[in-house]
Amino acid sequence: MIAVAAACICFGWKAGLLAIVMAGFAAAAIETASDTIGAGGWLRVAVFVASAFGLWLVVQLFRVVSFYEQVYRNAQPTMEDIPGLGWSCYPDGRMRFVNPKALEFVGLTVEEMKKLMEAGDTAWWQPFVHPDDLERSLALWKHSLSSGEPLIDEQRVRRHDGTYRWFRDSAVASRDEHGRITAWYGTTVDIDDQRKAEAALRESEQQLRQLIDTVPALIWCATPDGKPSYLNQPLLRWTGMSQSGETTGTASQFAATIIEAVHPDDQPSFQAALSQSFKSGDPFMLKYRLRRADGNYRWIDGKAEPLRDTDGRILQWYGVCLDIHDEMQAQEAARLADERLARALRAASLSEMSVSIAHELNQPLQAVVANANAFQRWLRANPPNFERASRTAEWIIRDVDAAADVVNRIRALFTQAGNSRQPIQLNTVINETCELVSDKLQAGKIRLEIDLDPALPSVGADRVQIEQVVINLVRNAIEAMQETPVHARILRIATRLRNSEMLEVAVSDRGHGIDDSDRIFEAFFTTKKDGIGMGLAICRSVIEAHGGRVWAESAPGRGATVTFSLPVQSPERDREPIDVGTLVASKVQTGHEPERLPV
Amino acid sequence: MDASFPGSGDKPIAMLVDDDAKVREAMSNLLNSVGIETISFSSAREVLEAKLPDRPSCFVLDVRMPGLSGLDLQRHLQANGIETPIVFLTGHGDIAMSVEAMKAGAVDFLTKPVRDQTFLDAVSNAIATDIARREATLTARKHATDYETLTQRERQVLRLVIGGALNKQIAFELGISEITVKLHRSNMMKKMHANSITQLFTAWQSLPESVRRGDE
Repeated sequence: MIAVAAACICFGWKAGLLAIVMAGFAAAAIETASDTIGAGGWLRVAVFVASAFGLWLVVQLFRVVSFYEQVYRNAQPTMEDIPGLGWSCYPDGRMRFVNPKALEFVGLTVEEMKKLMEAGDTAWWQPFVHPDDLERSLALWKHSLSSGEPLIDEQRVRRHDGTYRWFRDSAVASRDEHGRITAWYGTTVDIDDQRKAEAALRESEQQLRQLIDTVPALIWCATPDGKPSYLNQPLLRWTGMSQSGETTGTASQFAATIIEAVHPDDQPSFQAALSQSFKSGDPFMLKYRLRRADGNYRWIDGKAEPLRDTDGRILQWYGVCLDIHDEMQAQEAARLADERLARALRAASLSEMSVSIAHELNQPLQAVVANANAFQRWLRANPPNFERASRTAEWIIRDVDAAADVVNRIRALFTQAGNSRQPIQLNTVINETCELVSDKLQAGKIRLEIDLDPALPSVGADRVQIEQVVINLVRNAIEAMQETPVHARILRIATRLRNSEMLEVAVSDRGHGIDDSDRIFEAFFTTKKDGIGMGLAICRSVIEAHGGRVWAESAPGRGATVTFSLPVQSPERDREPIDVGTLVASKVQTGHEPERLPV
Repeated sequence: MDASFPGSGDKPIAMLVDDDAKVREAMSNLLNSVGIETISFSSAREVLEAKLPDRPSCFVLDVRMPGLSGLDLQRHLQANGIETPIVFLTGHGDIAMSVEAMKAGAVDFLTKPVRDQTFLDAVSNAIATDIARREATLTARKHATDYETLTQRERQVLRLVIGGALNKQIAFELGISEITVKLHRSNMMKKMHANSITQLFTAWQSLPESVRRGDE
């Protein structure tokens, strides 16, 4: 019994001492009982059992007492100096202590805290937590209390002024040597600014994503080996891909999907450019046709750039594809229209220019006629007005000079336009010209005979001007045959090399012929009802400017042949370049300079 | 050539519109040499912005001008109620254009370079037309003023006289005596400055359509 009591010392010396005393009493009681009650063998046993039970109770009592002593001893306000908000709870969750900073934050007085403590609520902190966070916080708290697991929770806590701020609450259980929870210790850290920053970050990321998904461009990102990491919404919509389907596959699967969607004609160049870029890290840049979700191929302007880290390693490829199909088509249409316009202009400009020249000459001519008449009248007046007559004479001289200027400018236009001379093949020029006037030939029911010398050398000439000459000659020939019987309407164009220096182009018709084959090249001489007689004059200017000659032969009633010759070698290109717009520009000038008296 | 225009108090003036200063000067010189005053404009716009002289006049318009063409100007003038006659000058005789201009009331359509006599005749014609037009307008205005002075009864008598009714018929129509009709009639004739039925009829004809229909 004493040995048992001695063993109890290990629970605590006080308990052990008490147990030894108790054991002594018990032994004495057993001894006394055996002496006083002789026949009490059973009684002794009973006393012994009772003593042992009492001893056990004492030991238990001490154990509990010593545990609570430990619990409450630690309840002293030792956490006052904890930075931040600190608190402590009993193992069952009742409030044990809240540090002054926390009290100050939530606006509790010490008395109020005491009241809360006495209330014995295990979720005493409820009034301070935002209602929206309460349910989750309670659940976590209960879970921790029952399981002893550390508590990590984020909730909004009400400040004394009623505003809520985000806090991270972390609490751990303090345990005794037997692993029993003696208390909960918690700290509550203000994470409001952090939460707000996170929210702002999330928002800006969201905005960025929305931006990327909204811009009318197809945007993609890929890993250095070509696996797509991001495809924006317009791209998915445009191509009809699904985000999950295509981005989860391997790089080669994805590449196969893309290449399959590229127009077969563009696949080789696309593949080459893509693999070249992924291999070398050079930016990718290509215009190609890609199949849209509706199955139509559309022109795409694709560009991609790698993002590199500080060591120059590629981290990510960023690419953008622009649908430029409409622009491409508009450009193509514009190009075709330009070409058509240029052809039409080439065909029309000679007659247009002639009208313009006629107008140019008409103005000074009209002034000369009117002034000359006025001059006469001033002199014939009674008495003669010599002053007005003299001034009128000055005006006449000025106007005649202006007319001469116009003529000079026209000549200059053709003699000095040598800056655009280049080697041209006359046979080609003639073939193209015939195409330009093919509708006129058809309309006039005219048979075209072309007899071109295949060995014709090239000449140095202004292609547009020579074209104009040929067009003019062909048109004249067509118009000359209006009254020729249909079966006899034959237009013949022949080229031949006359000698080593000159080649010739002859345009023959079966029209009424020319009466005066020398005068037809003079300006304002015309055999046509509505002609103004500039066409052949301009032709002669052009041909002579190129160092050639133009002449006409005619057998009356059997048609006419207009032939021009050009030197095989181009003449020296030592002439001043001239702006072809000079004529037009000077027209404007003469039109708006009111007083220009002769010097 | 004699440039006097009988029957007109004011001296006539030709208004030249041409963007080419040389042509403007020359035509103006030619007209001056026969005693016709001129005023020049370099564009149609200038004409529309200017205060035009209240004299017998005509326009000489170049068809082809930058900005508003001569034909455009003709339309604008008509829209503004300006009925001054127009002589067109053009560098190239476009038949369609001249037909359009003539239909719209142009006096002449000439092709540059124009012979002096042709041009001067055209301008004289235009001015004569304008004088006649102005006189007709003046007479009509005078007659309209005369008409305004008539009493209601006199106007009724005038209407019936023009309709060819005899005094007896007028008296019956208006329910008054023949004597009274004669009195009204003589007053009416005096006020209208008419010595005979023919003169009265001419004056009646020159009155605005609305007056003659009796819309007042």
